[in-house]
Amino acid sequence: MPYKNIKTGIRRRNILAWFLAIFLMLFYALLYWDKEIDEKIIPFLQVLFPGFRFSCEQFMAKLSQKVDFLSYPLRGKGADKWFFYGFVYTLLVVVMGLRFIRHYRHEKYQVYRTVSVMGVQLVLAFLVPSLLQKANVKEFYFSYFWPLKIEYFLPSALYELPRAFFYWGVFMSFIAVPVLTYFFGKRWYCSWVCGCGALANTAGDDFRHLSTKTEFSWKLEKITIYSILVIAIVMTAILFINHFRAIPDTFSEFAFALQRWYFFFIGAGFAGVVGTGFYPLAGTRVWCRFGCPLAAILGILQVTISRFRITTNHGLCIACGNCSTYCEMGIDVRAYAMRGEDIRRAACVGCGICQAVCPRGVLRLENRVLGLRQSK
Amino acid sequence: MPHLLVMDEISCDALIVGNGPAGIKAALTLREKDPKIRICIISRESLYFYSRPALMYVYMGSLRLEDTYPYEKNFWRKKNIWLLQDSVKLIDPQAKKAFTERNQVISFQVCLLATGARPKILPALGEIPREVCYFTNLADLKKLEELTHKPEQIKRAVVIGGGLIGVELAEMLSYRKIAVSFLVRENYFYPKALSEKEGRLVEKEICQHGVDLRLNCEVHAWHQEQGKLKGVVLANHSFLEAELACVAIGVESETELARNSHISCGEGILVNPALQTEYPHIFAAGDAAEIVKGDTREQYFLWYTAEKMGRLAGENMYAYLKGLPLQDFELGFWYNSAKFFRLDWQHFALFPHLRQTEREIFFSFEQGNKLLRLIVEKETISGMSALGLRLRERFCHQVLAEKRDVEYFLKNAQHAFFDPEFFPNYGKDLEKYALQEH
Ligand SMILES: Cc1cc2nc3c(=O)[nH]c(=O)nc-3n(C[C@H](O)[C@H](O)[C@H](O)COP(=O)(O)OP(=O)(O)OC[C@H]3O[C@@H](n4cnc5c(N)ncnc54)[C@H](O)[C@@H]3O)c2cc1C
Ligand code: SF4
Ligand code: SF4
Ligand code: SF4
Repeated sequence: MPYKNIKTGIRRRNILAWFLAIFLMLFYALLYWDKEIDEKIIPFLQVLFPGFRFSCEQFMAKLSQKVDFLSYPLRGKGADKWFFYGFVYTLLVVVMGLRFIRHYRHEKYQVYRTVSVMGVQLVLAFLVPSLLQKANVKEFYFSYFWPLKIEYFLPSALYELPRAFFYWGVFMSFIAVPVLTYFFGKRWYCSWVCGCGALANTAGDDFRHLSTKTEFSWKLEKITIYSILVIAIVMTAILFINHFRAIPDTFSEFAFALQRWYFFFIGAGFAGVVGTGFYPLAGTRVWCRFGCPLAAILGILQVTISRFRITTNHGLCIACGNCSTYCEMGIDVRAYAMRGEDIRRAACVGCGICQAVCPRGVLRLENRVLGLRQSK
Repeated sequence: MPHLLVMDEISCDALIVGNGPAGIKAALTLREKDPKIRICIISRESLYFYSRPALMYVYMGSLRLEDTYPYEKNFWRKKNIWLLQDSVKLIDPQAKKAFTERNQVISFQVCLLATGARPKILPALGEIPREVCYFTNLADLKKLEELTHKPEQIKRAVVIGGGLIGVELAEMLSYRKIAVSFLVRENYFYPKALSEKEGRLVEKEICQHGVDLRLNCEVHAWHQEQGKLKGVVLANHSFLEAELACVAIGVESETELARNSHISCGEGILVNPALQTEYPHIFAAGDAAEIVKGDTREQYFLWYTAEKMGRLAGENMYAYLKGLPLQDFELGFWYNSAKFFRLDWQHFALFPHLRQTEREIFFSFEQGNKLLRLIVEKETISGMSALGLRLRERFCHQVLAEKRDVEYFLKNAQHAFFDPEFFPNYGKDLEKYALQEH
């Protein structure tokens, strides 16, 4: 079993962990809202401290220039903050992914899926979108789709995206999701493809035990995640209705306000600032657990149609708690193992860490159905 | 006894002494049967039920102590089970009262002694230096943590006793980068449950992790200078330098309370198959109990056996209170498992030990680095043991329960394994891996 000391240092929400969290949140705030801060907050600060001068936008632009050397050959133009962010993100996934693989080198499932997320991030979420820009095609992330990347199935996608890309997104959202989830469970996406999951499981691996396990959090998780799914679906519907009505009136104003609101609070605030900023405080999958609308859909499919489950060798369980402690989704795996029940939970992202840390070989992720043959 | 008058007296229906898996399972079973019955669990080591086998992970820092609590703290309030941390000194079976160290008197209708086990003490080797420790409870954990607080100051530690806790200690100390000599009395590792082939494989694994493993090795005396441990003298009179000694030569039932209370004890607290002591309202279960069935006596020192006895004790205590018939303890299948450093071991069988009428069939994988052993009586499978591999409990149970033969096992062997995905499934052509018998 791959051990880690979680009783000291940054893994134990010490002062360093708080600094890191604040740093991450500030970074995301600057990334998403540099203009807004310049317009609304800086003037306010200037009233308080006359002579104070700072422009977040310029700061981000300067920072981004540092990766011009990569941006020119890849995209044929200078770096902007999004390219800079993509670069740092990919670097973290790859470098920390290698570290993760070293740590779990004896666990084939961990090695393979980490190679997969590293590859997807590097190729589909970094190189391909950059090269598309160089070829003067609209940048496109093949590994993301509605409702996580909600703009790929909004009316705007109809005229902003090349049609083939639009159809790809629709295919992923409405055909690949149910089919692959039927065979493999939520994990095919959340633990093998998704970039958010990739960052959580590589750079965030040292914080996974910080996920909350209280009953309150399970109740909260159900409320928030399904609310956001409903909001995402309703918003999509409203925007399409608005698009086909094509009348500028209060309804269309409302539709666009709703869209702005969604991108501000959920897209940037929740998924970015809180989702990553809370790593050192509340574990790595805060967004995946409490927010992600795609996770909600995958989760519903997982507990209804999917063949995926975690089976238990219940008699061998010694109730040690490694599984529950290291479950980043806060699932009480141990309670299932002690009762000898299969684990079928909407939240389970199939990361397989419970299986890896169990010292008695009690847990196994599986999709196959058993068929026994009789002897003569 | 006049001083009793100043004692606090509380009363409950079911008093459970010991909050290990046996005591806890009994309490939860009682609660399931009857939502009103007043249940009190009293235990001296910890207020909350924790997982004893997880102590090693707490030592290594990969778990916090609270992580080893199988139930949330407020679970007990919700279940209306009353927890007390105290040591019971005496039970008066006739008066149905228990007396504790903190001067509590607890009256009860039925009582369960689930006092667990204590380590076997090395036979007198003279005065015992402070640097000698055992590893079975929280106090031991604390002591070991203190003794190894500065691991770089310990040149070498000896672990005495080649059992499952011994391997854990060897792994724990190696993890802290302390050089370990592992002294095992037997001529191969753990003959109690492993065959020689398996024992050798475990020895290889232990040595690969830098442990100096010594078989056929017994300790003769401590060597100390100015009250500090400096080494051990072995039975062959050679000397081994060591600044720390961890002893894990097995456990025995904790019977002190029962003996003081004049409840009959043998190796453990003697109980009938319904888990009653000589006093029908006092039960015993778990590591503490010794079950007398006709001429045979049974004692088990495992987590699942303690849990299983605890469940039956809970049912029988309820039945006793309601005047219903009691049930007898049936062990059912035998299983055990461990992790020897990185090597998994899982064992499912009808009986704990190999019997005269049984033979063994071995399968060897990856140049003998993984082993499967089938235990066969005539043609029927009576047990299977896997080393470096994992077995599927449901399948193994089915094979045992339906008395399946070797042919059936070979045909369905791809379902027998429980290794994570992407590991080779040797079950598809298992016959190929059979070792020739000689
Ligand atoms: C290091 C270690 C590793 C282990 N690993 C495994 C494993 O991998 N697999 C496995 O199957 N088993 C394992 N075991 C054994 C397993 O933990 C025990 O079999 C199991 O805990 C027994 O449960 P129990 O309920 O009988 O007693 P215990 O868990 O021992 O609990 C008894 C409790 O009673 C309390 N008590 C005793 N006397 C009194 C008194 N007079 N007053 C108040 N309280 C009292 C004690 O403080 C103790 O807390 C391991 C044990 C140890 C020590
Ligand atoms: S929960 Fe959402 S964000 Fe997280 S890995 Fe799954 S799809 Fe990605
Ligand atoms: S239950 Fe296991 S596989 Fe599922 S999310 Fe938790 S740790 Fe990962
Ligand atoms: S399933 Fe494994 S990790 Fe979880 S409590 Fe049981 S033995 Fe420990």
